[in-house]
Amino acid sequence: MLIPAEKKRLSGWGRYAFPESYVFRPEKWKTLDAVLKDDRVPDFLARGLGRSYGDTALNEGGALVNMLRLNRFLDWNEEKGILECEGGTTLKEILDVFLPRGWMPYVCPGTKFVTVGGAIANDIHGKNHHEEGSFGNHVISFDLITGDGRNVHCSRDENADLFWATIGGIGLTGIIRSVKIQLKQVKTAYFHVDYYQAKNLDDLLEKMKEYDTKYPYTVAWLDCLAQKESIGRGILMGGRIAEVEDLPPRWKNMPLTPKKKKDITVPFDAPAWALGQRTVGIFNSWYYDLNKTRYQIVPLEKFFFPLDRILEWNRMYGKKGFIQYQVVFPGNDVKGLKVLLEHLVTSQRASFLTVLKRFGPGNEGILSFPMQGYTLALDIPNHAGLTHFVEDLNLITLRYNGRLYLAKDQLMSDSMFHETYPRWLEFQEIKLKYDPGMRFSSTMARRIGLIPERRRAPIC
Amino acid sequence: MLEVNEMKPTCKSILILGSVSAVARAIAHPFAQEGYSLLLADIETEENERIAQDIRIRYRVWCDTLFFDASDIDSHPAFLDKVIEKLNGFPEGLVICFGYMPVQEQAQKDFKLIKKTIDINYTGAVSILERVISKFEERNHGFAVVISSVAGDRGRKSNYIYGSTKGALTRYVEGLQHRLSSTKVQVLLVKPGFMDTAMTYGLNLPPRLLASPEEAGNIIYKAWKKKKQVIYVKWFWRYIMLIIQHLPRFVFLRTQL
Repeated sequence: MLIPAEKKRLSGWGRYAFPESYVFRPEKWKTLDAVLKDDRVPDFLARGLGRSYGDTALNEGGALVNMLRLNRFLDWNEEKGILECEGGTTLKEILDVFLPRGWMPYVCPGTKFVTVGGAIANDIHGKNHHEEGSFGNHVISFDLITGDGRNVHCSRDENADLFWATIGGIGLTGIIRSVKIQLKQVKTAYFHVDYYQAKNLDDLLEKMKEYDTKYPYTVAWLDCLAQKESIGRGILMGGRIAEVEDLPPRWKNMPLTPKKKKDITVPFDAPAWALGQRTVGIFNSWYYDLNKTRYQIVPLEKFFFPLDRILEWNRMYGKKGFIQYQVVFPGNDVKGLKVLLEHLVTSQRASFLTVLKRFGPGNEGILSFPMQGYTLALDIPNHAGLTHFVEDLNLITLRYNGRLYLAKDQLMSDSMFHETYPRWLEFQEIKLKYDPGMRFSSTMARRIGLIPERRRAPIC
Repeated sequence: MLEVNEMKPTCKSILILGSVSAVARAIAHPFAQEGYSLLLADIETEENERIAQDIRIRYRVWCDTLFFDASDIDSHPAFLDKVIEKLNGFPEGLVICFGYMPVQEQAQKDFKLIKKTIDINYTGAVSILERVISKFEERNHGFAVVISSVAGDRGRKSNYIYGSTKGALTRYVEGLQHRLSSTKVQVLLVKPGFMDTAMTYGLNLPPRLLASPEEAGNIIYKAWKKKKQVIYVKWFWRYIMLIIQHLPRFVFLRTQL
C-alpha cells in the first residue's frame, strides 16, 4: 500500500534555503510503518516543528516524515513524574497539561515549539545546563524504528550504543516512535529572576560564576554592538522556580496557572532594514538600559520563552533569512570567547540576539553538543558577505578548540565537522550496524560528511 | 496505572464512532475538557486504545474503547448492548465520525468499492442512528452529531460515489431533525469542507480552504453547545455550496468540479 505524500519546499527556522522533498504525515503507527517501507524513496528523515535553524531537519530529494500527528500521551506515572509519549508530542503540550499539575520538562530551550523527538535528536539544552544537563539526561528510554524496519527499545542498559547515538544524533538513527521521560516537580509556575546589568565582558563573566552557584537557571544577553571598554556588556539573568511564599497575593491561590497573554503573529517578511544595524543598535541600547540590576517574579513561560509570543518571528529577518551561529569553547578559558566577540564588534554585524551561557559537563551522547565551557549563540542576517564572515568565525572557533551546534548550523564544512566532532566515526559505525541500507539521511548529514554520499537517485 | 482507570462513567457520556479519525479526536477533546465520559469505538483497536489513553491522561476523565465495524450491520445490536454494559445505560450523546472515501476513478471500475462506500457511509450510519435515536426520543433527551460532507450537496463527477452516500446521509438526518422537532433531542448535521486530515493529505488542496482538525473540533463543539441543526466547517463553505448547488445545469456540466 502506498501512502500519499506531498511534494514541498521546506526550510529550517532560519529560512536560508528551501530544498524540495516528499513529506509524509502519518497519523497511525500502522501508517508510519507502511511509510518507511515505501521503496520509491531513497531515504527518510523525521521532522517535527522545524525549529532547528539550518538544514538539520531537511532531506532534499528524499522524504520527510512529519511527526506532528503522532503526539499522544501513552502513559503517566503521577507518583514518579514519568511520562511516556509519542515522538511528535510538543513541549508546549506537555507544559499545557502537566504544569497545572506541578510538573514540567527538566530541560526547556528558548521555545516550547519543539517535539520530544526533535529535543532528543538535537539533545537540546536550556538555561539550567550547568546544573541539570541537557534533554538526553532526563530521557529514560525510547522506542526507535531503525533502518532495518525493527522497533528497537533503547535505554542506558538496553541497546545503549543506539541510545547514545540517537541522543544528539540529528535523526539519523531512525524514527522515535515513543519516549519515556522524567519530569520535574514544581510548586509554582513562576520564576524568581535576578537581573544584573554588566558593564563589560569581564564584569559579566565574574558575576556569572557567582550566579551559576546561586541559581539553577542562568543566561546572559549581550549587546554585541557595544564597543571599546564596554565590549561584552549585557544583562545577566539568574532564575529559580519561585516558592508559593515568593508570590504576590493575587497569584498565591493559583500558583500553577498564570494568566496567558495573546500571541502576536508576524504577518509578512519584514523589509531588510527592520533588523539592520541601526535598529538593532537602538534596540540593544534600549534593552540594556531597561534592565537595571533588580529582581522580579515572572511567569515561567515568560522566563523561558520570551519569543514564543511572537509567532513566526523568523520572518523579522526578511525574505533572505538568517543563520544562527552557536559555538562552545571548552573549559574555563575565555580567550576564544573574547576573540570571537571582538571580531563580532569590529565587524559591526548586528546580531539581534546574542546569548552567552556557561555549560556544565556534557553527557555520553556521541554527537551531543554541550560540553563544559562557554557557549555563545548569535543570529546573523543573510546579507552580502555572510559566508566570508562565517569563515572568519570558524577560524576562531577552530583555533580555540570550539565546536558548533548542529541544530543551528547551516554552513560548516565536512572537514571542520570531522575535526571538531572526532567521535563521528564511532557514530557512523553504530549507524551502519542498525541502518546498513542508509534508509535515514538528511541534507545536513550529507553536507557535513557524517554519512557517505547517497547511492540512490533522489526522487525530486 | 492511571487513577482514572478506576473511575466510573458519568451520565454525561458520549459514544464516538469512528474515533480514530483526526476529526473524531478533535471533537472528543472539548467534550473531555467539559468532563464528559467518553466511549470510543473504532475498527482499529490498538490505535483507538492509544487515543483513549491520551484522553485519560490529558483530561482525567473516564474513557474506554470498543471494537466497532460500521459496515457489519448485523453486529450493531450486539455492539449497542456492549455500549450499554460499558456505560451502565445509553449514552447522552452519539457522534458519528466514521466514513470511507474511495478514489473516484477506482470506484467507477470496481463496484465492490462502491458498495463498501454505501455500506459504511449510509447503511452503517442509519443502522446505528435509527436504533439510538429511538431511545433518545423515548427519553426525550440526548443528542447526535453526524459528520456528513459538502460533497453530498451536489453530485460532481470528481467525487460522486462518496458524495452520493453523504447526500443520502444528509437527507436522512434532515428527516430525523423533522421527526424530532417537537422533542428535546438535538441532531447536529455537520458538513465539513476540506479538512486537513489523512483523507485529504496529498491532494494539494488550497491551504486557505483547509480546516485543521482542531479548528473543526472546536467549531463543531461550539455549534453543538448553541443547539445548532446544521453547520458548515468552515463557514464559507455554506456560500460556496450555495453557489455550486444553484449553478444552472448547462453551466455546471461544463465545470471540472
